[in-house]
Formats: sequence, C-alpha cells, structure tokens
Amino acid sequence: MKYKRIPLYFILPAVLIYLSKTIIPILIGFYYSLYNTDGLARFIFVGLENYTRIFKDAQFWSATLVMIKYSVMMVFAGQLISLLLALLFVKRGAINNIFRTLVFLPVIMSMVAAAFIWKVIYSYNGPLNVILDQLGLGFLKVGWLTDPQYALASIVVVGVFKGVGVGMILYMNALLTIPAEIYESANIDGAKPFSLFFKITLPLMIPGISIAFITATINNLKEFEKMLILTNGGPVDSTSTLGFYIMEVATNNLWVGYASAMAVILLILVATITYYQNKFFDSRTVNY
Amino acid sequence: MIRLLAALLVIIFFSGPLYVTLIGAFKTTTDIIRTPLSLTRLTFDNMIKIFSDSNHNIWEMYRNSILLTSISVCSVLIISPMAGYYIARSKKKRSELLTMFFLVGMMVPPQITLVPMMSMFYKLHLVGTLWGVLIVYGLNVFVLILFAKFIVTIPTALEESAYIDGASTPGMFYKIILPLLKPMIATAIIIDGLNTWNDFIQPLFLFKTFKTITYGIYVANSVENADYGYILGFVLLASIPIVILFLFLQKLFIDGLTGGAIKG
Repeated sequence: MKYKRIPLYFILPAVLIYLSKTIIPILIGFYYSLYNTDGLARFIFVGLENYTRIFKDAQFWSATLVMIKYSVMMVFAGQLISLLLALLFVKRGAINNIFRTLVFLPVIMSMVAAAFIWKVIYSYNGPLNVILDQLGLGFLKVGWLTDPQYALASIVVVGVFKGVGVGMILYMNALLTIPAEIYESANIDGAKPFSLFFKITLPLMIPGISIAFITATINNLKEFEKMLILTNGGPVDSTSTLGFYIMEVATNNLWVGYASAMAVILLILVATITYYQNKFFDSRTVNY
Repeated sequence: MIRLLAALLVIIFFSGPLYVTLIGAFKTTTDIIRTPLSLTRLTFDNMIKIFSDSNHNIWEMYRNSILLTSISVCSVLIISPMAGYYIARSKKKRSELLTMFFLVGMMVPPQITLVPMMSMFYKLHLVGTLWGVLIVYGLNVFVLILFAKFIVTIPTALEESAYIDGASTPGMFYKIILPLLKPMIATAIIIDGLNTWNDFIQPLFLFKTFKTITYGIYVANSVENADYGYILGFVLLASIPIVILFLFLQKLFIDGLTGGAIKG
C-alpha cells in the first residue's frame, strides 16, 4: 500500500465486542460442555460424559429428526415458493411492485409479532377454523398447533410467510443477471418455454440458488424461536427441534453443560451440511 | 390464467393475516371468533386496556425499544465503517483472515452462545447496563462485512493523493471515505435498526428487567390468556412503526436487506 498503514484502533472496538459476544461465549460453551453445570454455581468436571449421554438420549435423536424434517420442509417449500414468486413478479410495473411489497411486509415484522398473529389464527376458535366453518369446509378443521400430525407443518407455513420475501428478492436478482441475449438466441433456435427454463434459466441461477439454499438451511437447522412461541416444543415434542431441545434443557432444566455439548454437536452438524451443500452447488455451477 | 390464481393466493396468504391483525386489534375477542373478517363493531377497548395496563407499561416498552435501537445503530455506525475500512485496505491475507474471523459468528448457532452469555451477564452484573447493551447490540457482523466489501470497491487513488499531500489516516478517513459511504450508512441503519427493534430472544434472556416491545408481546400473551384482541393489539403496536417506515422507504429496505447477499 502506498499510504500509511491504518491504525489498529480502527478495528479494535469491533474485535473487542465480537470477542465478547461471540468468540468468548463459544469457548465458554465448549468449556461448559465438559462439565455438569448450571452456569452459575455448580461445576463438576465430567469430561466427555455429556457427549456419551447425548447418544443414549432418545429425545436428542427425535429432536434431530424433527429438525431435519422441519429443515427439509422449510427449505423446499420456501425455496420453491420464493422462486415461483420471483418468476411471477420479476418484471417492472406498479402492480408487480404492490405484490412484491405485500410479500416482503412479513419479512420486516418481528418474529414474535408474526408468530403471535399465526398463533391466534391457528387456535381452535381462531379465524382459520371459523372461516373454514363459514365456507362450509368445517370438516377440515383441526388443531393446527395442537395436533401432533399438523403442528410442524403449521410452523413451516409461518416460516414461509415470514421468509419467502427475502428469497423472492434474491431469486429476482439472480434472474435479472441473465443477459437477454441468451433468451434471444435460444428463441431463434426454437426452444420451448419449459426446456428454456430448465436448461438455461435454472442453471444460470445456480449461484443465486446456492446462496439462498445455504443460508436458508443454516437458519432453519438452528431454528427454535418459532417453536418456542407457537407450540413450546409442541404436542408431545412433535415440534421439538434440536435447536429447541437445547434451549429447553439449558433454560428449563439448567443442565447447561449437557445443553452446551448438544450445541457443539449442532454446530458440527451445521458446518458439515453447509460444507457439502457448498460443494454440491459449486460442482453444478455453469458458465456459458 | 395461472397468474391470476397465483396473484389471488398471494393476496390471501400474505395480506390475510395482516388484515385480520389490523382489524382484530380493534375487536373484542368474541367478535374475532364470530366474525374474523368483517369490519363491524370496531372498538378501542383493546387499545385502552393495553395503554392503561399498569403491569406492562407500553410507553416504557416503546422507550426501551427505541433506546436499545438507537444505542445499537449509533454504535454500529461508529465502529463498522472504521473496521470495514481497516479490513478493506489490508493486504489480502489479513483481510481474508479477518473476514473469516467475523463470518464464523454468522454461522454459529445462537444456542451455543446464548447460555454462556447469560452466565457471563449474571456473573459480571451486566444485566440492564449500558455495557451489556453494547456487547450484545454494539456490533452487527453482517453490516461490518457489508462495509468491508463496499469500501473495497472504492478506488484508492483519492487516498493516495491525500497521503502524498500529507494527510493523516484518521483525517483521510473522515474527510474522504466517510462522505462516500452515505448509501451504505443508510443501509446499515435499516439492517441494524430492524434487527435490534425486532429482536426478542436476547431481551428475553439477557435483559429481563429492561422490557422491550417485542418482549411485551410475549408477556402479554401469557398474562391475558386467549384474549385475542389484546394480543393482536400488541402485535399491531409493535409493528406499526416499522411498517410505516417500510412503506416510505421500501427501496432502501429491500436493497439493504438483500443487497449484501447479491453482491456477494
């Protein structure tokens, strides 16, 4: 660099805060995972015992399963709908703009706010069931959040409501990066809209798709806030994801050491899945 | 046409809940149950109840939310451009290392940091103090990385000539770089402001006595069990400020919240 080196104090505050709120807590978390502790007074060293307990914990495995179910549902439903919305409303225009605003509105609301709206809507006497009744579809009424069969899917709906706005914008921008000439030359060659989409549009969107997929996956695997507000782990733990189970164990039972060990496992899981997702998308990236 | 059907579904799914909330906030619970969609029998009862609730003072909650958000935005605006500048103008290896360093924070599950932070806060008596707030909200890693990436795109020519003219680094930063960062600053205010205002988990676990309005929604529910009107009223009051801001600054919001991910 031709000019003076930038003084360290430019970055010091950021680093200090980051250490305090992220790095040090992570390290403390690792440390706690080796103890039987409540985070305040009780500290009994147990080594890797927490970790071995995890593998024998039936609820850990069911929570992991629920987490995977939730993430798969969320990512596929969410990404598909985001993509469809992007395709529908990508063109300029006042009407499209209104629709895009509508879709994006839930994104800026607080998660608590959105969750409570749906909590009211989903309740047995809530608007959803009442409207179904009024439409003569009363037989479709269920306990959306109280029936183990439907609770998780109901939460996915809330996730879609809150999240697809961002996905839609991401996919829209990915669409807009495709140069118009490619479509023109494809049309000249007589391509049909369907194959046009699958063979040209979609492959060229892969960088955008990968960012959307990967961030969505990471966020969904860690998810617990919706479950906390909507079902508190759900009828018979049907909505207790790993993320939720960890929070429950840590804050309800104060088994902080055990919870920290599970959090470490979750971290490893998230990192691994992210790595392979990244590889998958990298290998599929095309350049025309 | 499929487009029409899709548009209809979008309207129902995305605005339905919002409509129900908007009018539900002004209806009694029995009315919400009987006629969730109609505009008849609107009442201010819920609002009166909320504003006169002595256990949960909504003005205090608004004040706390505004306080937290202001502190956060100010802090983020002070430290992020400087740190971003440092990273942007560092040699490749150092900047890559720093970027990775900060990216870790974005990938880590909050569960792993939340409980240790709770312990930290209680043991160090940080609950409800300014330091506590600064630690939790003083830095926004996403914003920091956005600044770093943005500043990288600024050509160094201006700084180089300023240096030759004998300018100091802080002076250079203040007079040359900062004015160029204005669009980014707007984005940062929106991203961090939104993040802090909407945050619920951290106030719930770390700032118990310092109630924010999002915390208020959560507590309102447990107290007034199944009083839908009350709950929706609270939700409305918590969301209206941002929704109004959003409707006026749409482009800024959308670009800010997604622009970082696109420019990659």
